[in-house]
Amino acid sequence: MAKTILAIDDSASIRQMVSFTLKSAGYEVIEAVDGMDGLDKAKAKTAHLVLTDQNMPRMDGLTLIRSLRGLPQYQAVPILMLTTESSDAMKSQGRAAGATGWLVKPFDPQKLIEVVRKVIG
Amino acid sequence: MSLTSKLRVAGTAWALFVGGLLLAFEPALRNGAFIAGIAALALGWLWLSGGASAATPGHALDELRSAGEQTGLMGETATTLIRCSQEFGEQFDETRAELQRAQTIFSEAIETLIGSFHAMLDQSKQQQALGLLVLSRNAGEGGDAVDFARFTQETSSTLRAFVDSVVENSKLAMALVEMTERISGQVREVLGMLGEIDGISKQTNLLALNAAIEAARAGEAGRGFSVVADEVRDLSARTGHFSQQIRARVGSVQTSIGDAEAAINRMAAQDMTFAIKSKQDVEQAMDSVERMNEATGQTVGELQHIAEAMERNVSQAVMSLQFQDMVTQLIGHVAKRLDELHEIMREIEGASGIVEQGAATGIAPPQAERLRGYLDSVRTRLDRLKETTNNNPVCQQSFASGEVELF
Repeated sequence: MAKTILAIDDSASIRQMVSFTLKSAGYEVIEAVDGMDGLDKAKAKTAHLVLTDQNMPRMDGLTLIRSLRGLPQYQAVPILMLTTESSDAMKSQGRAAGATGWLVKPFDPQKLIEVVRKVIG
Repeated sequence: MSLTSKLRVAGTAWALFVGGLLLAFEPALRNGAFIAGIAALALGWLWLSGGASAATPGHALDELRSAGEQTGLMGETATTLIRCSQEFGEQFDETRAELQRAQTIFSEAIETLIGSFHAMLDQSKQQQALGLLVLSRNAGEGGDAVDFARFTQETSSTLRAFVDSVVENSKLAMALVEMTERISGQVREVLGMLGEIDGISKQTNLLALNAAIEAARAGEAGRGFSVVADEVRDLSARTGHFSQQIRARVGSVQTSIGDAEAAINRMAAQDMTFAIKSKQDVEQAMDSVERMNEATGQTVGELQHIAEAMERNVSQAVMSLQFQDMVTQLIGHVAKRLDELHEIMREIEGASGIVEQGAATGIAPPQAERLRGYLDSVRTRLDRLKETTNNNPVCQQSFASGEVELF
């Protein structure tokens, strides 16, 4: 059975690219348009991996990670940030919030698949 | 410098400054009419303030509560405006640099996209042509693709079995030739034996004849012996007759055996020729099949390379397509920066309105209070400006793929 990845980004094109890339690698992908939507969908179905943007309306990525880590079912689920933000300060905040890794946009589809496979197999 | 002179300088500078701002922000306004308008505004201000200076008697200024306070206020306004100008200049530079970066990212991405998609198109065509080639080589009568390797193996196996069978038949035919030669020899031996029988028959006939002569000489006493002699002659004649018949039949058999031998000889010779030719044909066919297999392998290899190249190009295209998100964020940040500047400009506009009014009629205490409020607000906004616009979400300078870090 395919593993489920929750992809959260306010950019429709990024969501489409992430979804296409990961589906072609055999994963099931659930898309969410911002942190709030992502949190709702994460509660509805526990994903094997969460891939989220940082700068989004309503709820940003860091806030989402903190909220997810507060849920029992997401304490051990890997959460990767996929964002244009690349400052050390932001990465430190991400690590402190509970992120598993930090991917800076633009992403190479092959690299994304490699990282996802490394994290969840 | 008198207050009037300061007003003239400050007002003219303000008109030119606002005009410059609008020119910097809005390319559509960069035309002769607008620039002439700005110049007219500056000159008009100079004329009005000069006229006010000429028309306003010195005692009018006495209506102001304190000339010193007014002068201070004007000085403060001028200082704030100068600071505004400096800060705005820096912000404009930042804005231009960011827009330039956005344009660079855009153009890089678009160039990469065009290159990638063109390459994909070419490779797709090549792949299609090669696919058709492979299809035409491998297609069966009904256009169905067959298992080429299995077909080759089975054909080769069948042809080799056929050739082996023919060679075996040829060997058997050669053995048959030897056998017919042996039979022919035995038939000759039988004919030889028949010669012996003929000899016996002739001798028996001769004996019977002698016996008949002797019986005739014996007269009446030899009459019985004469009958026996006749019977013996008759037997001899029948034996000779049968011997002739057997010789004729055996001769016919010998002829048939000779014909069969000749036929088998021809068959053996023909089969061997056919078998040798078939074997050569099979070897040639197998060579052709091997060459076709090699060509198919090469074609499949090329298709593989093309598929890999296409995959790389698609990855590149997918990566480049992310420019939209990055540029959107960058432009959003520029918009945020412009919003801040716009708010400051509004405050300055309010302040400048009071200054403009004050230059003509003087500044009453409530207006002075409002003016201070505007100036305080401008100062606060200027202090906050760098803080609010510093956090640019897009730091990438090029379109290389971003770094990956697992914590």
